[in-house]
Amino acid sequence: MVVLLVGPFVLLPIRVFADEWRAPNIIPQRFGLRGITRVAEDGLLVEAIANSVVVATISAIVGVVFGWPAARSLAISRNARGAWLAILLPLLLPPLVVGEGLRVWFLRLGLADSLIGLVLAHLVFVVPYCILILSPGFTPELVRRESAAMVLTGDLKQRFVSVTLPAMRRQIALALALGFTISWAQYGTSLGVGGGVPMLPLLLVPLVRSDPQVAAVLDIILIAPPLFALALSQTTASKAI
Amino acid sequence: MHAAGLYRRCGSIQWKVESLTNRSVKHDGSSRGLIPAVLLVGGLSLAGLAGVVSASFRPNAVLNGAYGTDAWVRLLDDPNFVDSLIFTVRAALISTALSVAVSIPLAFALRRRETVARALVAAPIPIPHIVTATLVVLWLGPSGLADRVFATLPIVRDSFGVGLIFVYFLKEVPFLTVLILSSLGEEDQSREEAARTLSPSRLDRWRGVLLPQLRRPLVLGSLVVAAFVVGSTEVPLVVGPLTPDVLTTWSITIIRIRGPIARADAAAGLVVTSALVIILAVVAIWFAFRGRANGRSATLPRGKS
Repeated sequence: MVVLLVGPFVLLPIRVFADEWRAPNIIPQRFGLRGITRVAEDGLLVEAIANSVVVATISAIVGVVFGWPAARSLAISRNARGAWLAILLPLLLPPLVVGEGLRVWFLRLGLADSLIGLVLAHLVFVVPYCILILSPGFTPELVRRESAAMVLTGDLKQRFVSVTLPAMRRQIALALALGFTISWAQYGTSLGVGGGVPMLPLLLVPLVRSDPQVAAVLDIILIAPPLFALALSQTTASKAI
Repeated sequence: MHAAGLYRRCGSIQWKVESLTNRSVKHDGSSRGLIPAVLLVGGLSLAGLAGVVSASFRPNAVLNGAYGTDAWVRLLDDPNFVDSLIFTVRAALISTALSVAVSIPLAFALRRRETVARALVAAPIPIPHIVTATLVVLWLGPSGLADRVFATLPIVRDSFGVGLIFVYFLKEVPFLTVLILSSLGEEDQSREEAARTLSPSRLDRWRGVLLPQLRRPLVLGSLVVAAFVVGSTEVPLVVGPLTPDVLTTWSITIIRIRGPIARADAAAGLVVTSALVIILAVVAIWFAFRGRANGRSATLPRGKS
């Protein structure tokens, strides 16, 4: 079962370098860099990657900024079930519904087919994950240290810089990485709100059939941030132990 | 003051403050911190839902067009839409049931295994669905590697949706397995061992001890998986059949065929998709609250305890 779940990924790096791989051959006839060159030289693909990086970066930062006070409140609050529900329920909404629905309003506001509109739509899914990651960082120990720091310095800024930030840096890094990853792979919301803006997942779908080698290169680019987030979470977990 | 120094000093100061005041230091936390996030996420989600509902009743909303139910009448008369609805529900049910059926024994097999096997099973969770769909095309599509090696029938874009279900299976089995593993804690293992001494029957132990433990995470996890399958777009676009569509791709297809004039019909289709997901969410909430209210009780069947 483990082989079935993980095994298919072995094919991806082979497909990236398989310049010629015609059926019924099991091994590619020619290896090369055609896929990578095509991605690097195609202006639309480069623009799509750049747009995805910009939108995912801004979404992750804004997600942490909005998620921070919410995570703190949820961690401290004793009866936060209703609040958790309000935060997490939107994750169940179909992304295409959110994207298409927001497009109706964004067209009036001039935000449709814009990077700002895409960031706003992605935040529906980014903020809840940032809260989920940040919340466990506000441990009772940290909260007590923060209170003591306030007694000692009386300065909120110094409390944040000297006590809260050092204790939360791993959670912040992980929330940024996960927030980036969630936005990075958004398809439905991007199609609804910003169908006219080239984004990496939007260009990948038609390429799966028309040019599998280029699609494999885009797949590798698409899974790099999630793998980084996974490695970061493993490191964080092992350091926490 | 140096940051690390202050952080260390806070530990001792905290003790002194608590000693002097003879009470625990209370934190200034309040629910005010939730307001920005709830307003942003809740506001945008509700705006999205309101947007599709509004667009389904008002085709030319941007041009302040008139309200009407024409799109809904056309939707309910469209046999393709009914086919899509049936196909979507069937795909959600089958992929969820298959994932649950495999994730339970997998979780039990991994329960006492080392962390490497667990990490390998959890590894596909953060991989985007669209990447898994691409891999399934490379392996199992026409001229895919499986076709070349084993001469198997390609399952991508088949009318039953085997390829579609297989992608969800590959993605959701790790999710449900991790969910089950996290609910099988140390306390539950000792409870299971106690039950083993009371009843030699494996079926009794399953019904009396393990099932009550797993019921809540399994039902909640299954509802989340089903809701995701109903609302997914990119996976059906890559591996799903051309006909029937799933509900989300039906909305895209109808705009592609009839043009922007069909946006109201597409919005009506998306409202139906949302309604399905909201029903699943309501059941999940009801189950979560009911589970909490009743508490987790694990008991052996009557006559065995």
